[in-house]
Amino acid sequence: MAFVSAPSGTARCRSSFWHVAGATEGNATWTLATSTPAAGGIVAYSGVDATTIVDAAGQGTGTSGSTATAPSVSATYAGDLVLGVGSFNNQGTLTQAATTTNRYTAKVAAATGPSMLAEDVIQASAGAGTAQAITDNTAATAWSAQTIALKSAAAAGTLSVQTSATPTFSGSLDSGDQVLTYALPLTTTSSVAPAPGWNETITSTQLSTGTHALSSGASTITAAPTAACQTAYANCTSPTDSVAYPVGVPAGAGPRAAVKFFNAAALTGAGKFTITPTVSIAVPQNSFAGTYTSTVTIAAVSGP
Amino acid sequence: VLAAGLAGAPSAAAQGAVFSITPVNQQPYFVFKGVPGRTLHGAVRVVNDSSVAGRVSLYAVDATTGQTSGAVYLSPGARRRDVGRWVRLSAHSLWLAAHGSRTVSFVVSVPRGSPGGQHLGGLVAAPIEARETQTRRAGKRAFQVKIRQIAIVAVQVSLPGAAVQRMGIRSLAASGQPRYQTLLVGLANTGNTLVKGAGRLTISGHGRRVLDSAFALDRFVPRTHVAFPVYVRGKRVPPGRYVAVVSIRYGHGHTLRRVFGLTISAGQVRRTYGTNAASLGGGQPGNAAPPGWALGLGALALVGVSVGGSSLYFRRRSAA
Repeated sequence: MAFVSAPSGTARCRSSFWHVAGATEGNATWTLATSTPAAGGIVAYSGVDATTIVDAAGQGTGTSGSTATAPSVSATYAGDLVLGVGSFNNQGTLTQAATTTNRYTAKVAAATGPSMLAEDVIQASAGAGTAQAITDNTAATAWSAQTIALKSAAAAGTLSVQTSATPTFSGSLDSGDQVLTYALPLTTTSSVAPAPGWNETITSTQLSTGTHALSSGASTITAAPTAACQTAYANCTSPTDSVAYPVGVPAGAGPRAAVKFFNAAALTGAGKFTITPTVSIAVPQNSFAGTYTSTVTIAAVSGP
Repeated sequence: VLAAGLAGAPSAAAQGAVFSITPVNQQPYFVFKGVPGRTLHGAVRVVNDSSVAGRVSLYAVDATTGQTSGAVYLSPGARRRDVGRWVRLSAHSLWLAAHGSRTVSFVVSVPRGSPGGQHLGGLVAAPIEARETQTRRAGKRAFQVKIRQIAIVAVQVSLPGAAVQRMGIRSLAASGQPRYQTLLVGLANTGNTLVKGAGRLTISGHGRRVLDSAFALDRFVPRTHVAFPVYVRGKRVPPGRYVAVVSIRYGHGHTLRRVFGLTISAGQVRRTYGTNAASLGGGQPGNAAPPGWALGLGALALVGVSVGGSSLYFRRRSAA
């Protein structure tokens, strides 16, 4: 990872570059269009996912002050290494943000600098991170900052599913045989779009009061679930679902073998999604009174 | 009698930890080439993907074919005969801090005499506790669903031997499941490799075709069979006797066709469309079965006619 800063007066120019290193690497050279003071540095990282290197990025600029704020970015994956880089158009002494590790500082001994600092921190969980404030002991008339979240190789291939909200039942049980429905919003996180794709399966125990049960074929996913990328996350590619609907939800002791109710075709479905199947329950008019309960098992599967 | 409307406040979902399980070799899932009598080695990374600490249960299971086709993974209570039985994990339970992770190794001991071909199982990471969702009351009834979210990574073991792609069409039957009229096609993978395919079901009777339905077949796990559901879309197939043809294509250009006699009973149709066909859908309104109240009124009318006729008969006999 390399950073170059060449501010002059109130104009700022700061660029970041990445390169997957080979066994041997030489010097790196950048050429500026016009002659101007410039500072830069290189940081080498290992353990970065070579397929998706940058998970998220952001930047900020200012025309005055002594703090360059590398903004919060929203990481798709847990365990990102989040770099913060700040540069000022002076030759002040820079200090890294709290909890970060300073990787280097560089500056030009001139009135307009530039001076710059690169730091990083591991962000344990996916989602919004913390802004990094890089401070200068002298107020500058221009600063710029950038945040770059590098995806951890350890995060490659993770796939999980969780209920993101309380399912909501709806339907009327006024008279006759009726249908009760509940939506089941599932937050699915897939850090990569694997070649074989992935899928989600469902099975359940029979809806039962303990003494009386609804039919084992009572529950059905009638239509394709909605699948929406969570927009706060970068690099989201929607899954392509090829399951045919309706899908009967298996119900029985054990419980019964699951069925697929959603899949992501090969090389689709990387990111964080809300997948919402709607399950309808056929409730016959002559069903017994009582509290019907069922345990529904949802599996996120990486497999053929 | 069902009470009108829905009442009762939902209870908040109990939030628990969520886990993922990933091969450490960076592959989407495990594909081993094994030899009977030998042992294979692997490792998974188990991650707590949530912001709360929690305990995760780890176990191996066999794969099977889901009813709608496609490889699915059996519950821990199911008997393990194949890969699920061959796998030994170095840990069966972990306590993981929020966003914590642990690497767990495992061995696959392939028994001597195991048949050649592909064998499929899975490694499962399951939270110990299910999340309770919501209780919804509807008069004298209430409905509650508890959710378990698990993560599975497949373990496929290929053993030496000639690859055999062979499927069978075993049966065809009508189902009396609620809401959707369904024909169940008995399909089996009697070969030793995973196969995909497609099929078609046609039903004819009284000189006309009443159903022509194409369907896709997702992966079929070797040595498994299912009653594959073919849903009747649009106009329902009325009770009667029919001739049905099931044909499938699978694997590398294999085809199979079988003809069945098929009987659809009035009871099956009634169980599907219930006593209130309009609200349950699934059929053409003009072709709907008579609703329950109409059947009831009809029955009452028949009783009335019988009683009236009988009394008239006996009056005449008494008068004679």
